[in-house]
Amino acid sequence: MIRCDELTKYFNGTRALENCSFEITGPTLTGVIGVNGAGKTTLFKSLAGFLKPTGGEAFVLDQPAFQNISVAQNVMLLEEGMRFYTSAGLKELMDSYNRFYQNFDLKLALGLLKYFNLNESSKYHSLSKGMSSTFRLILALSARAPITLLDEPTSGMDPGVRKDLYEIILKDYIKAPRIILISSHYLGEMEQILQDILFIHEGKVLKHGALEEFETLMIALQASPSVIRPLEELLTVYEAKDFGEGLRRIVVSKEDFEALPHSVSLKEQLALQGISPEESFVYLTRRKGGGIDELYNS
Amino acid sequence: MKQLEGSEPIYVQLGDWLENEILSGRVKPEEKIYSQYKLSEIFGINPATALKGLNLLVEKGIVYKKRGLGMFVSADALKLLKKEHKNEVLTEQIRGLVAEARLLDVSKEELIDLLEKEMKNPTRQHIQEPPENKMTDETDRKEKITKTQINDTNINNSKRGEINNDPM
Repeated sequence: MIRCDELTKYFNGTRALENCSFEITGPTLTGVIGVNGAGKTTLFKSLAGFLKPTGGEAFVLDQPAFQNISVAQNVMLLEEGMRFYTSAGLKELMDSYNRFYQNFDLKLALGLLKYFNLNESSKYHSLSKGMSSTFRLILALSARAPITLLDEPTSGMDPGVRKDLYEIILKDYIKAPRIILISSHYLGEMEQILQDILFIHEGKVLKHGALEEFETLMIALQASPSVIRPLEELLTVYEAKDFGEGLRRIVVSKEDFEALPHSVSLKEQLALQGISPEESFVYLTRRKGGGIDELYNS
Repeated sequence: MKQLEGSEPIYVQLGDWLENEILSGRVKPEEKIYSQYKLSEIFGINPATALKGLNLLVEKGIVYKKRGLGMFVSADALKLLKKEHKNEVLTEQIRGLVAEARLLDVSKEELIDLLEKEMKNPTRQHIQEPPENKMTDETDRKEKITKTQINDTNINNSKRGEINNDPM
């Protein structure tokens, strides 16, 4: 169980998190999304007990997370800046994690190492960027910690390997259901393995819900400009684009669109198109103001 | 209302795929349908999403739960599905067809001719594509990992219709 109550964190006066609140009560595979600087990494570090909140609290298994040893043993945080003994080989690093994490699955860890052609005696620092990411993920999953936090687990990896790793994360979750949070820039690639999405924006939770709520967040309407223009007066438009003279496409909130009391005949003239969670996320976090086209055409 | 392709949530696409498995006879009435975990493996989707897809069919009475045994295709599933597809799927496809014909200046007579020609061909069957699975490439690696490390049930070798015993 994890819970954040109005969690707030400032670094030298700069906001990272501001009144961030959410709760996860049982095993789920949750994607944490947000633009750079939204507060994802600060959130993960707070849950792992590495950061003292400026305000509010992060609870793990009903205890405040900050510098709490029983929390530490139940939380595994994967991050790019993980530090390892420089002189130890990969197998030795695994052994030390095996000693700390009660449920560590050493057999799985060694199997995955072999699968990814990583040498047990290699030094972590000699690995390529992609390989060290792979190693960190192997370690993080094998720890089988009740709360597993994966901060950008696939950074620096080839698309083919990323696909493999998302599949491994899903299989591992099915084998050992637990709270797993994954942040990634590649929402489109990982969304299908997720159950829930936690959407962080400007230090706050903008939306926390099941994958399908994000799959039906927005909708594109396409028709001749004479049909579309009047709708633009009624709805918040996230994007508008003309395709030649006869066709205009706008992106709007699905909920707003469905709440419109307009006639069936109008709906008949519209072509509807779903918007993926990744696209919706881009529209919601995009800077307000004119679109790219406006910028280049002025 | 027209609906363009690929815009449905994963669980809805999965529901469509399951309906097609039943309609095409690959899973028969009173047989056990793929479990939540089997579907999760087949498509590389979260088990919760897979369950939501199955529940779409439960709500329609196409699939029913047997306590401790899993989910089964109901006896009148085909009847229900055919009725539903006639009402919804066919109507929608015909709407698209007519719109396209208008665009191409195809006359009513020509369109009916085309329809009749198509209907005379008894063997052709429309088989729906499964929901997009971004993870089924590299089957070799997948097989390897499935066999050796993660899970002992190997989906790639299992027969169609053969199902896990996970009680739901």
